[in-house]
Amino acid sequence: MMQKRMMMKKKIKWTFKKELLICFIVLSVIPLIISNCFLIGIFQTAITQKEQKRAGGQLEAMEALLLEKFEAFDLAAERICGNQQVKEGITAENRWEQNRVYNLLYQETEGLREYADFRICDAGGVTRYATGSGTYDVTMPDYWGILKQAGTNIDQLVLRDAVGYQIADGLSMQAARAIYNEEDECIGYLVLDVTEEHFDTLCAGSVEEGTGFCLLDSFFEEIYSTKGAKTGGIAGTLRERLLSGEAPDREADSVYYEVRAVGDTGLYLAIGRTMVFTEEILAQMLFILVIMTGISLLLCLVVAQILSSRLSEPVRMLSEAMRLAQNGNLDVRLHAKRKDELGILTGNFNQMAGKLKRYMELQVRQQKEINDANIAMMQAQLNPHFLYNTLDTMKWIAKANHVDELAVLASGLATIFRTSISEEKWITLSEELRLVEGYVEIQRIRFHDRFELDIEVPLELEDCLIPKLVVQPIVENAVIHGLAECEHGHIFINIYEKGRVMYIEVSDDGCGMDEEMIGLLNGRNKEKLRGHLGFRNVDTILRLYYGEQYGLSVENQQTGGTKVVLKLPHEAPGMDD
Amino acid sequence: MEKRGRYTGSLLLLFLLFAMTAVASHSPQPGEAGGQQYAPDEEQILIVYTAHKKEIYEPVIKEFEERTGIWVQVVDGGTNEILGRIAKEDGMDSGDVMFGGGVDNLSAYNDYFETYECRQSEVLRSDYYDPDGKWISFSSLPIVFIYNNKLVYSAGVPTSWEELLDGNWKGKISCAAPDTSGSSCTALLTMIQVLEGEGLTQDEVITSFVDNLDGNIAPDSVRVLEEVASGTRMIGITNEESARKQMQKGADLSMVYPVEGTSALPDGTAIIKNCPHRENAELFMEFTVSEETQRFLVEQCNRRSVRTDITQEAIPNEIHYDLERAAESRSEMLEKWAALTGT
Repeated sequence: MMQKRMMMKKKIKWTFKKELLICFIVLSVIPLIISNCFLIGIFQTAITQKEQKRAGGQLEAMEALLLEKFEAFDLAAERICGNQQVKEGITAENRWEQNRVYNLLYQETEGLREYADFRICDAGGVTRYATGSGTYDVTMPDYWGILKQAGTNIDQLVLRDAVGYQIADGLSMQAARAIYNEEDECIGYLVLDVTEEHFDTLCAGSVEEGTGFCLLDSFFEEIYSTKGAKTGGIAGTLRERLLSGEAPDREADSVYYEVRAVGDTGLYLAIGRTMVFTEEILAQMLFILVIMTGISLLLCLVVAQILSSRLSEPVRMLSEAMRLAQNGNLDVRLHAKRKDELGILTGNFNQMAGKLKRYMELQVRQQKEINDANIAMMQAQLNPHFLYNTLDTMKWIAKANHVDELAVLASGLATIFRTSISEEKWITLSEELRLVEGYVEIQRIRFHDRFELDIEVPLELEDCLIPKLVVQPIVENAVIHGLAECEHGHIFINIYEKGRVMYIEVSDDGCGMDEEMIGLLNGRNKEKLRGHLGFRNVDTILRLYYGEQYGLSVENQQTGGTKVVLKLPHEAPGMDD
Repeated sequence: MEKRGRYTGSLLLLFLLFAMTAVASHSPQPGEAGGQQYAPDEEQILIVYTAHKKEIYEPVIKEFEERTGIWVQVVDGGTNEILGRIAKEDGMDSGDVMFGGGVDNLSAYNDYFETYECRQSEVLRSDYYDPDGKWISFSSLPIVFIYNNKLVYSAGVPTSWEELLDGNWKGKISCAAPDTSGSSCTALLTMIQVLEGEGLTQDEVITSFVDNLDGNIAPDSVRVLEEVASGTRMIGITNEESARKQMQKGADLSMVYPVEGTSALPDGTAIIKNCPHRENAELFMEFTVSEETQRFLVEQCNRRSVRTDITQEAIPNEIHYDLERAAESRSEMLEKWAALTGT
């Protein structure tokens, strides 16, 4: 029982808590997670896009810069290659002609020499004029490399990666244009040597410091790389991946590549854009998210616990109080401190319990009053007081006149009346038995000694107090109904005690009762016992005094006749009201 | 309650899933600007395994790229390393062309090469032409002696293989270990071939030579040049190209072709078995022996052409290097060397 109640309590609490917890989680943790996830996503996208845009912008700026310089190179080359004095001076041996060509070369390359060294070679690839240092004695094969390319692309400044042809230190790129005479014979070449240093100069000031970009030829081989790109190995990685057919970008690198073609030069610009939003940062943000979720979950748990106990405690107390009230304790009251719905409910319970108690008390009092009235009324029926004195007088008159039978009659009747008119409600068993004997004497005279009475009572029971006049009506009933037709009837009263219960058996050997009557008597259907007032009264008296388990029962004896048993508690003598 | 609990649970899960996908879908996609659209088609690729030095393969391959538009992927390394790799790959997921490596080495791996009939075979030197068509030669490297001009009086310069063994130069000779340096190995085999004609056995030649080295063995051919140029050793044995290059750089060295004769073992080019880009490989083979490439080799790279129509100064005292004989005595010689030097 106790355990069950505990379980019940637990279950109530848990159900409450569970529902509250789910509500809290739905309302707090999930929006937190969703909004955080979106925030991370948006943050990531925004940063990536911004970075992409920045890189794109840088590439665009770089492309514009390169194209501008190439355009300037192209124009200068066109002017130099078309100049008559240059054409005539390529193979000149005298100093004056050479100076004229040099003057022109320097004049035309004004402002460009910091981005490239200019050389004029003859048709055999032998350098004749050079603005740079260290390249005066260079001979380039005209059947190979850039010069061959320039020779086959008439009137065009061709660009070429200088890889594998290091005629000068740090040479990155070469450009060349063939020079033709009037007969359309190739008489020489204008060659531009662009070194790493030149590129550095070109980029200085126009490219953000630390930007890792590189210039690639059409086979994605590196022409020039800024320092950042070199350490990152952008060019090599990019080419390798393109060759193996892989996507250039790889998550694990945390570098994204942006590539842009430089006009129609066949060159490409590539930039290695480091991922600002790395896996690491993502992991960190997710970690924070997890922590926040954890804290919020914990908070939910705590609040759910507090709220559920706040809600379930009064409910539990209420249910406990109701159980007590059910078991009859109507004094139970609850302290209602709260002003909310639960407080009102508790107040209502208190009121209800109070009203129930008052109602119950009223009921008990009324019942008691009714019982007392009934007993008084029943006893009053047998109380004609003056008859006793009359009978006593009659007895003495009969004695004086020697009418013995009348004396006996009057004496018996007097005994009966004395007992019945006395104020005592309780008499001893022996007094009651004397009354019965008196009654039987009278009846024996009346019925000409047609029956006899035997009484067997243990001595220790004789002083037991019983309600008066409970045995006489039974005997009367036996005499009047049971032995009415008999010539030699016999009434036997047997009294004994068993298990603190006193049994008073009144048996006769008369005609017995029909089963219907016995059923009615044992059923105690009082409305139908109108004609048997004696039985009814005795039964009622016993029950009212002693309770429902005591009373009167009737049965037919197998030898014939009826046996009526009175069952009453064997109480100590002197029991009071 | 039970049912509702499950419902709520699945709803929760759905939310989480949704949130996670939201994060995942926001992770940056590989950019289209990554340059993938510039990647070459499969038929525009050639994979070249090379044992050449960078200064040789780089201009040749770059020129090949520019002329054909083919992207060349280069895998470089030592001759034995690359050949070992080819044997290991055995035609599976391998390269297209083996570029470089002595033809004696290549011959040992004939099983891993495709047969190819060179279209320009009639202008190539017949003595360095593989009759099986497994490889074609690319350039040849004569073995030469070098000496430090400051230390060696020109009249006392060693001019023959025999002189190296007579004890006068004991401890003054620089030579690379033949098991690591290909040219050193060729030099030793040449010495053996030459001196066997003079009546010496292989064992005698090696024993005597190692004795004259007096324990000084250079780890590689570059060290030989450095040792002689710096004066650590007086004379050295190396190849013509390395010697010329060092001299062009300004080292005070001189070069001698041994009087008994010197060999000019060619390096070769071969198409690797089951190569993925056969057509490009053939183009490359033809390109390596084209007139312009060979001219470039002679004029710009200090190499000897294998073409007969290229004008180049003749190699003094060149002997026919017996490839078969060399292949036979090679391992024996190396074993002997190892035994003598204790390496």
